[in-house]
Amino acid sequence: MGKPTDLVQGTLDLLILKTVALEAMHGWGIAQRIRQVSKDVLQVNQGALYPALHRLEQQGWIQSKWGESENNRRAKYYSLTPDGAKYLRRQQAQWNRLSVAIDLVLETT
Amino acid sequence: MRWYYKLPLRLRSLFRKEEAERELNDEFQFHLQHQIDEYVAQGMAPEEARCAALRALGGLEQFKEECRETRKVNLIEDLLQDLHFGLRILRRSPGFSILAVLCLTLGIGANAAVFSWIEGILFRPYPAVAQQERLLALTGTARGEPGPTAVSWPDFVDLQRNCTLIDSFITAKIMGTTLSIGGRAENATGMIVSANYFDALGVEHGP
Repeated sequence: MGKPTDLVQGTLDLLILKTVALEAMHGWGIAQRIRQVSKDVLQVNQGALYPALHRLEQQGWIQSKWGESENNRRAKYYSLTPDGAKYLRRQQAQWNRLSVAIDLVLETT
Repeated sequence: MRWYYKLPLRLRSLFRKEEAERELNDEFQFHLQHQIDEYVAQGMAPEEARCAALRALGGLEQFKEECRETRKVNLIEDLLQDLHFGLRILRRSPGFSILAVLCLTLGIGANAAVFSWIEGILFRPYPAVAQQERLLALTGTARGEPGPTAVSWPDFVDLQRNCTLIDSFITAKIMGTTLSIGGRAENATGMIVSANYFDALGVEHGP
């Protein structure tokens, strides 16, 4: 079971950015989406999620807006900024390069 | 363009702390509610679900503190980074840095000198006088004479007695005298003044 502490440093940021790139989401929704999409492998702990969201917001990669949630509660919705989209593309490319490189090393016989 | 998103957040964490704090609370409350709903959906009693959700959320205060941290640290960190960057640039071109420092030194020094000079000459020419802004010079005039003339003693006495606009009148006349000490004589410039001179000016004089 992958816990946030098991994740490579910076991977959580990548997951969050990718998740909010599809549509504006609140913290709870982001955690649920990551869990569902990863087929329950990645369970994002709220203790790591919220500080990461706030940090990304402070860095200008995502922005937040208060809105009504699906069950009529006030929720803080996060969405990607244009700069965040560029940052995500860069990070994703870097991640791809890294994972390909690790695969190469591991599969060498 | 990132500043467009960052600047309002920076300003808010500086000047509108309570609002940021309240929103942080609301955000966690929202999360907690969802967690409770999920536990209720799994068949727990509402009260039990609430306790379980609080347990699952764990050290709530600690998370909040971490979120606050992201607001504070960035501000100071950015400042440090900027300082660091500035120092590095200065070190990279020492000639330019020394020139800049010299220019600043000269500029600030000249400014300070001129200001203290102006202050001494124009704003406070007599530093020993208590209320120099209430000091006036009065001279006599005479028909046919181009410049100011001396005030006669009877005029002075009249003014002192009758003019209620002025607190007190003093007279002064620059003159020279010869001082002789032992076998040595020296010409000294001095002033002969009326007896109320020091009291009127408010100058503290020795016994």
